[in-house]
Amino acid sequence: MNGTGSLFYTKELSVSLKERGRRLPVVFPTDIAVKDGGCTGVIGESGCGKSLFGRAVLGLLTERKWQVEGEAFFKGERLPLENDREMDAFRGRRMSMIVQDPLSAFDPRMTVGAHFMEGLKRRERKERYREAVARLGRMLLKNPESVMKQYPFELSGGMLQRVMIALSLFAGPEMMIADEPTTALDSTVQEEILQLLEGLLGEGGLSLLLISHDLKVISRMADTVYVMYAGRIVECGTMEEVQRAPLHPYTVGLFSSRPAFSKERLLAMEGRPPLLEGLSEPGCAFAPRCPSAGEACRKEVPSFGAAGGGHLVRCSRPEAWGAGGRGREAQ
Amino acid sequence: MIRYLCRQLLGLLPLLFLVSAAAFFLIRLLPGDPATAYLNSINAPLTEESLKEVREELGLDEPVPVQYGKWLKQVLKGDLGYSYQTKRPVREELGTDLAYTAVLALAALAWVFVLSALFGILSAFFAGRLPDRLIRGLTFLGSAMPKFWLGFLLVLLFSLRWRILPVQGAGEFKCLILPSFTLACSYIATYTKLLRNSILEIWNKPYVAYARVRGFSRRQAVFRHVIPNALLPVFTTLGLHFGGILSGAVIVENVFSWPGLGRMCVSAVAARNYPMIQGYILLMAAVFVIANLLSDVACAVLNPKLRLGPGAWK
Repeated sequence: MNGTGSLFYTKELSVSLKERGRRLPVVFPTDIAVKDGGCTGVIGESGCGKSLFGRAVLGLLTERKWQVEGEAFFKGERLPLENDREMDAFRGRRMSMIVQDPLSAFDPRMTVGAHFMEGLKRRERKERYREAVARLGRMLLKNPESVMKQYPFELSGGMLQRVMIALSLFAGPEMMIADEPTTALDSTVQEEILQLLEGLLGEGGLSLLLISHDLKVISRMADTVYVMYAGRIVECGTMEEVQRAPLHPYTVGLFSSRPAFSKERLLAMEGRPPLLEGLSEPGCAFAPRCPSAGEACRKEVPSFGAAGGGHLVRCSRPEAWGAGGRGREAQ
Repeated sequence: MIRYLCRQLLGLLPLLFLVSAAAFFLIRLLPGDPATAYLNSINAPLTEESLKEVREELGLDEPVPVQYGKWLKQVLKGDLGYSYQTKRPVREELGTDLAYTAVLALAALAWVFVLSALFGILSAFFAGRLPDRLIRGLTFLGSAMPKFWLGFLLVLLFSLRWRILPVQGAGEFKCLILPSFTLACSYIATYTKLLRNSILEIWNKPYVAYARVRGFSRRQAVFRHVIPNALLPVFTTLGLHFGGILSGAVIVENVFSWPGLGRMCVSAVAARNYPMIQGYILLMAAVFVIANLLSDVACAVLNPKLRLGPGAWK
């Protein structure tokens, strides 16, 4: 998808692991765009590189271990991904992030309040304290005053996730990367957090890059979806298009392994994604698991092809494209 | 917390009782006779008569359990008895020696703090690169080097060859440098390694990355999150090691003729000066336990999880 004009987009952004002089590609050149005020979802199995991509976009990958190439643009401005210090001006203030396990995201020695006050001079604290309490209240936390005095390990996962959202939004970023924001929470709390994020998207003027393995979460939140498999985007389009007619056999598989209230047996995808070392092997990475893979699929990586509108798919078997409903008919 | 401390302190009493009994009976298993040693030390003739006289005077003619009972009664009153050699109360003797040893141990601690913080942080920052490899080589050397050997080497270099520091003595600050460094050396190595690994571990914690996400610079993340959290295990083990530093002083004090507890202990053992040895052992046991307790307190102050979390001390 062409990202120019979006709030945020990447241009051939790739990540590789530096290991003993070798470079193992983990995320292949990837273009992803987030619309202003929109929610873009990235979905894929664990280990497909989606979290790594999220961290790379914020310049959080250490140079010693990771090689990040390509570019990312925020409001038309190129992000200085190669310069850690210059990225400090973007992180938190313009783009922020919330992560999977909220408990581990807080310094265990510091109270919630101390996290809000971090780096402040004494005279600025009173003001900030009041503001923080108000913001925690807006996150629908009961007793925000007492939460401020508590340590992270004294709070539940759902409470901490709310605190983390409030803390991430404190410096007023326009975009937030949410990396599996609800995975560690039980389903009722998940629902509350998703509602909270939805509210921020609508009235809050926030844009979201939502990374998840959970189709339920992505299909509920995202307007645009990218399906990632083994470090490559294999399909993208508007949520509606992809949901109506998934084209890539992997996407089809994802949709048919989604539980529904029906008596049909849940389809599980056979096999596993390739290991890191196998990522650079020729051929489509999904071929070994693909029900309709042919000779050509094992020879070269298929290119991204348009399937009408903004819907793109990386599959070399056009006959598969028409087989959108091969699994269960997508809703 | 306060209740926890009181309980620990009460627990100290039976421990001290056991230590006192073990010390009392074990040192009497040592070959050699205190009366003979005493007569030798005052250059008195060794006759049947004089030996008998000395034994009576020192209370050594009675059966050992009776001696123990008498000694224990005294100890409970706060009297540790008299040194056979100097005739001064053991408490006073131990007091002056303890002061010297404490100075030595505290100076060693200062070395440990400053140098292992410096080396540990450097080593972690340059992990895998030249400074790290160099420091790891040095820590290996430092922990493998026996104290007496290191002490002699240092004296050879700094005192005899370069003549910067005195060979021995205890009067002035200059005299403190070599013995305290010798004592500290293996601990510097241990703590450098500990701190290095701890920093590297904390560095990968999500909360450090999350601090960066909120817009804090690398330096801010390191000083506010990495280093304070990495120091926790250092404080935990420091209490365990403080007793070790004190008792490790035995060798160093003998190499540098430092008039502390260790040297006193060695000469007391040589002279079979029972009250002094017993007093020393009791004192050391108490110091060990109290040092552990203090490090517990330090950990609770530094780590809120210990104070408030599940399984906190009540």
